[in-house]
Amino acid sequence: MSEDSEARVNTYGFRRDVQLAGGCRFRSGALVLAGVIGVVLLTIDPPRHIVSAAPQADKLKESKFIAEGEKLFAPSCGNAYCHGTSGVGGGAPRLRGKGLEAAYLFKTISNGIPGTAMLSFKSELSEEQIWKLVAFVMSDVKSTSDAKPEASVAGKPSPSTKASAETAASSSITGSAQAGKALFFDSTQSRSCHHCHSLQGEGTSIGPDLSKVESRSPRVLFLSIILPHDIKDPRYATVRLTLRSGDRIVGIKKEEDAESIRVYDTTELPAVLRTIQKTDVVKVESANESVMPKDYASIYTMKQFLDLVTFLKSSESPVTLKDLLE
Amino acid sequence: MIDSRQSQLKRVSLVAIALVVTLAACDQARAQDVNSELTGERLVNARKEPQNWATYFGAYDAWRYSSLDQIRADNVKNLVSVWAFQTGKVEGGLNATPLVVDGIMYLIASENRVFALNAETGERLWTYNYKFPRDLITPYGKFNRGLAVGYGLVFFGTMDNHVVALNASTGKEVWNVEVEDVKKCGCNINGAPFIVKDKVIVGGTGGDSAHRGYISAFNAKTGRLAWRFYTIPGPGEPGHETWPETEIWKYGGGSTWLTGSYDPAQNLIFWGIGNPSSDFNNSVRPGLNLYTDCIVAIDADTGKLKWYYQEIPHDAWDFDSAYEPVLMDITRNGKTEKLLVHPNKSGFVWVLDRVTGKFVNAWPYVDTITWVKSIDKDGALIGRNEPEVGKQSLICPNWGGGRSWNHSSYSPRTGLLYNDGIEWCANVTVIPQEAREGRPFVGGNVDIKPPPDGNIRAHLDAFDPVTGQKKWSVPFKYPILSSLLVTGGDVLFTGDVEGHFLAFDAKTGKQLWSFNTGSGHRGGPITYSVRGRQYVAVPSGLGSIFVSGMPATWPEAANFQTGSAVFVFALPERK
Ligand code: HEC
Repeated sequence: MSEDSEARVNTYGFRRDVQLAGGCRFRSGALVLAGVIGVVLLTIDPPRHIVSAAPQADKLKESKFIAEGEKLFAPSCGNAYCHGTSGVGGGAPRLRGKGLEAAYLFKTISNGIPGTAMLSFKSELSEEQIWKLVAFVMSDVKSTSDAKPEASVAGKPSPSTKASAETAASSSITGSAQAGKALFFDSTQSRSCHHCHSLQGEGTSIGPDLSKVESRSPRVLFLSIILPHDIKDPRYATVRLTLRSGDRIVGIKKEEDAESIRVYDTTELPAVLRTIQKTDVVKVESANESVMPKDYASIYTMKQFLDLVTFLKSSESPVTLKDLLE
Repeated sequence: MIDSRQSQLKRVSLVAIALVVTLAACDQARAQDVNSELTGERLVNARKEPQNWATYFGAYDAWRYSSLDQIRADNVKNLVSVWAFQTGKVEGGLNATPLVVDGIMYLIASENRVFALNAETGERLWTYNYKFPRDLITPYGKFNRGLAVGYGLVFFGTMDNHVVALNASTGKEVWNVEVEDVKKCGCNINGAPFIVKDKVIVGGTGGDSAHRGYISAFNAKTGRLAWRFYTIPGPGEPGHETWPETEIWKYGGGSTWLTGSYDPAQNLIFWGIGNPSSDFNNSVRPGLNLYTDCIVAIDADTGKLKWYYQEIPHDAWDFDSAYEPVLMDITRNGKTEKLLVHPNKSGFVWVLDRVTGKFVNAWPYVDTITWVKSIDKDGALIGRNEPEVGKQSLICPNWGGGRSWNHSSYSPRTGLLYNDGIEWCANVTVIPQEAREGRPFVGGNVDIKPPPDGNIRAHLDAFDPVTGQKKWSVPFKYPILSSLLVTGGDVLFTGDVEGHFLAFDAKTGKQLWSFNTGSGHRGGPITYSVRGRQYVAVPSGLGSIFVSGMPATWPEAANFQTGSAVFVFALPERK
């Protein structure tokens, strides 16, 4: 604990029933509540009628039923803080490949798991909806569109069997927005994107904010990460300063006034915003190339690119390998 | 004609000589002002420059001691106030330790406001106001504990987790680097950086959040990251196996929120690593949880771990080991030992061999300890009393610590470690919680209680640093929240929460002098000298949020005034 949390104790901590578990009061309250609910829930056995309402086992395998479950899954369970878009890679435990049973799933989704972030959904969803979620999770949380060949292929000249196998394979290799986000913001990696880009209000805006690139095609995004490219916006031109001391600084100019020039030195990341007195500068060069690292192709795996692009696209359906190749 | 020309020439050359002399003098003066010659090398020999207080702890050994001896136990009663400086904003109080280098005082106040002052007169030379985002959520407060000075620059960490370097003579920004996005990590920097060789070394908060702590080293001149030491080893690194096979290691805390010490002979930086999180619910992280609650020794050039010693394996009490690692060479039985003496929040002081990292001793500095029965001769914790889910457990000391973070001091003259203590307990309830990156991750709550044997109370003590034998003790009603300072004149200085700046006889504990600064003390007093006159400077300004909670235990504390000022004292000038 640091002085501040210690301080927090003292600010809020001396009051009755103080919750130390958070710096945020609302959160603390929520936790106490969650705790109380949890204890109550633990003591409740699953009501019998729920079990008796279980649909036929066949129903749980019906593709339409599963597909409806998938729709429900995305917003309620698949977000980054929970189980991840496809039941993996989220903040909560993975669901894919767990082989969980129907009755257990139904009970857990209905009641939540006390003491964890797993919320109760029974006030939010009907029993039928919860069964649909159960069906989707039991289908191993795989997108129903993954299984069947691309619909768009139908209009095009009929591909050879081999090509359609490739198509099927390449569209089943998908990215995860959650994993992409983790890569984007990985502060242990000196090359990670957040050192220069912001997205949805997080990260550092040395390069362009990437919140608006979601409209670009996956392929364009992929290429703008792996290939060196000319810059379109002169704000992001690379500057090279040679100083009187002999030091050289490479980076992006932030601003300039009569006496000084402020440059994001990107020699090492995180970039350093340096204020250089003009009297210390011997030479300023500007280049139409990007400071963005040029070696991503040898740093990330294909899967990681898919993750990154899926994250950049902030699309509900994951970007597939096929999308990158087209 | 000739004569006149000759005399003219003579005059010209005289002027030229005068000019050269003046220029040289100017240069000298400038060199002194800018202190650009304050290098890592000079900092190694800081003890040879007692006129300065050039690093957070006064010198690399973290003694908070100065050999200056103009002010002594027998004349300290004559101290007079010389000047005071108001920082202008009281929110957050004044938690810092000022620095003085070559007659200039550098001070940082809450909200990262930095000042350079003439150390003789208090005249302000420049002010720097850090611009921070208006919507900033500061999970760990707006206050700041101190800065570093060297290479003509002033360094500090910010509320929004940047490290900034200012030009020491103008106060203008030279470089600024974002260490990690505060919105992601829920962490920031309020501890003082320090300079080792050509690098500035910085820790950070975040130990009560779902965060993975680290120490970073930046190139002092350029701000470029030189190395980073993660306090929780990642997959494949030794020590990773002390964490479960979940993702919890990414959120396991181990913050580095205070400042380390440095042993130039070994080129090792010593740092106290904070608690694992979630703080009270250790069931989410079975294992030793390295390197939380450890003292780590890391190579100053590379950031590589040389050794570690874990004081509290698998912490369940939030007794992090973040406090000052004090380095001393002590001769016992004809043998000089290179030791590291480390007061811990848990109420114990650990003594380690700082060459090998081996356990030497652990001794209690408070009377009320129930979290563990004892610590055996090998350093093992005997009879751990861990709080459990769904049960209230009375744990002493209270998680606020056997003492707070404000630092101890050590005098090589008396051979004593001066330290404060608080007798208090808390009912701890464990509440399992899920880790969410950058969000609070404490996993429990506490309810402060008096110790079983009476009222909550505090004390100031002098100990043998190795054996823990108590030499003297002075009772206090309220916790001491100011760091301690001991001098070559055998005077021990500190301040109380009511605003009294106090001087004690370092040998006996007898109170010698007191001055009411009007607001309580939460920072670090220092001493320095300019042109032969010794000064003592003390930050005053209780304003810390800590105090807002005191009224529940001490109702009258509701009326303790806030503030943010530095008071400076000296002996009257001999006319
Ligand atoms: C050293 C800084 C830096 C890093 C690290 C960096 N970028 Fe960039 N990036 C830039 C700059 C500057 C630009 C704008 C100039 C250009 O187009 O290259 C840019 C442009 C882009 C663009 C095109 C944006 C547009 O509006 O056209 C995308 C997409 C992009 N980056 C993605 C990434 C991703 C993904 C990563 C991490 C894998 C990353 N960048 C890492 C600096 C960086």
